[in-house]
Amino acid sequence: MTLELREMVFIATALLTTLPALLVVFSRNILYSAFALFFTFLGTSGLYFFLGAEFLAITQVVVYIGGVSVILLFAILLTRDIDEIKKTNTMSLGRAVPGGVAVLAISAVFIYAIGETKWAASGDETGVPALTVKPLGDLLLNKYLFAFEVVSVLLLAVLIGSLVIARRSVK
Amino acid sequence: MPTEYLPIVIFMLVATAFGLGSLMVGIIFRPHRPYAEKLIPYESGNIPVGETRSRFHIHFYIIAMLFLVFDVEAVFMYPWAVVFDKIGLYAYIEMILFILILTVGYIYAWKKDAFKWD
Repeated sequence: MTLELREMVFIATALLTTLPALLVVFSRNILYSAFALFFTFLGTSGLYFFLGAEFLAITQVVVYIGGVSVILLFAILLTRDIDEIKKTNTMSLGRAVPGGVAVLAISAVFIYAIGETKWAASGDETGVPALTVKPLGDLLLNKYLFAFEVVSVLLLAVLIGSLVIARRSVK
Repeated sequence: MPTEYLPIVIFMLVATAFGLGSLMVGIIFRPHRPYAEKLIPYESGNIPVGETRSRFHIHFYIIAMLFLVFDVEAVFMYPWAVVFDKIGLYAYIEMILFILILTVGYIYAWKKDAFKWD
């Protein structure tokens, strides 16, 4: 029973990820694409939960749904050359073919990676910890302290970079 | 998947059902009498003028970028806060350093009038 429920939830989550992703690609209105992407992000977050990476899942919600989506919407609203919002996400054979090739290539890499990965279920003796936040905090503050501090330098670069670019485009 | 996340799923389902359910109840019970004046976009009772879609000020984008940077910073505080009591002062200094580096960016943004509307 538990297993069946699990499978049902997984299928629902997978559909929540993939169906809006199709809408992102095929919607003519780029605003609809952006909103559909919200749901794809939410589904991805659910998949992270399934993998037992709950910190990553919460980060997905906080950063992608709360931040990146808003940035995307602002980018659309800031764009100058939109006359008719209903025809903004244009698709043609000339774009579909290279897109398709790229999809196949990336899929091949993913399938190879999935096949090579040693998957461990949480609760196994192989041991993915049931809760990842605590070990993660431990690693960040001890073993990977340098990386942790470099992250803040990276964020600083992002902040200054975005300001410089935005300022230049105003003038 | 650990079953302890099931409450989150149930919570999301109930929230979605509540939203959709309210709209459905509205559709069932509200009177349906549309006429031309009712269907024009609402603009405080005036007749709408000009294009609906207007270009936003670039400033919104800068604010959004700033938000995103500090959003990511906040995310890094979760694992830090969880182990804080175990590591103690050392963790405190590490986080202060993390925040200080970002404060440089904050001051830069302030000096460049990123928070000012002109």
